[in-house]
Amino acid sequence: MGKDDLDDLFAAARADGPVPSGDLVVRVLADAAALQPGLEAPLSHAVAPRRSLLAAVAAMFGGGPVLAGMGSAAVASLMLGFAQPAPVSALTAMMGGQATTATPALDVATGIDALISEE
Amino acid sequence: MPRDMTAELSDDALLVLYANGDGMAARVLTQRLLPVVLGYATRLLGNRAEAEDIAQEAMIRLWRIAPDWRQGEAKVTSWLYRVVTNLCTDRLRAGRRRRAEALDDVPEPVDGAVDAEGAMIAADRMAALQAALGSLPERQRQAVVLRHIEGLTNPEIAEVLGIGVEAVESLTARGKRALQALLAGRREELGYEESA
Repeated sequence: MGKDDLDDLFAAARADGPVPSGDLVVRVLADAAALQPGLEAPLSHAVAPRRSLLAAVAAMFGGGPVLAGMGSAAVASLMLGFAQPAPVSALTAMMGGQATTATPALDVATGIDALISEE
Repeated sequence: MPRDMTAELSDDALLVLYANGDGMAARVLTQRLLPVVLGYATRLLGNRAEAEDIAQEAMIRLWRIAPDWRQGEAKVTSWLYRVVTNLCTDRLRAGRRRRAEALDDVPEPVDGAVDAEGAMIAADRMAALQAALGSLPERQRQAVVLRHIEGLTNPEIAEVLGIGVEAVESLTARGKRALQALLAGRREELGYEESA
């Protein structure tokens, strides 16, 4: 066999390369998927943390600090409503057109005098 | 990344994409490299089923090395040719050991060429070439297939086989002469009678 004949055979062999079967391609791609880095399993059991009722209410009003401020203001308003200190009484009298000459006794915490006197 | 974009990328760029979790890169690499790997393994082993096993194993090694692949240092195909060469060498040696154990009572053939010549009697050109390739010494067969069928340059073959370029030239020249001698007696059978 001559050199050209052999070269013809080589050329025919190049054109006649084996084609991978579908089964082989599937196996190779399955290997690739199994060995691919950077792919983590999805979090199938992720559960959102539960919140208490107080936390839910606080969140509704803008968080704990805001709720604390609102509570303080509510208590202060209640005390002012019950005790009605002299400056407030004078102001309401002035706005109502009545002059006040005497300041009524202010007793914010009734009953505390008795405790003090006992000591 | 869309398939039409990945198809234009180099092999090592695709390998980096694969390592970064790209879903399309493995498909394009498989489509591009699996026929190459399978063809080379088939020429070295002469057995399609065994060549498929080798091709799958070579691709597994490619997926495994992807995170550590350094772009620009080596061609992916050269690396794969080297892997397939080593896997086929191991497979052929194991096969020889198995045959030697199984055929203790059967007389050994005098010469590999006798096998090749016998196979050519009822074979077509490709089968005759494959049989002749199979009768070459391992290194000659690897060099001839890489040079004349896979189309690699001598420096590329030197890199794949881990030898010098001069050694490659010597192997391919001797291998080609041996093939011509093996096929010489079958010219007419192979349809070359008019070109003599």
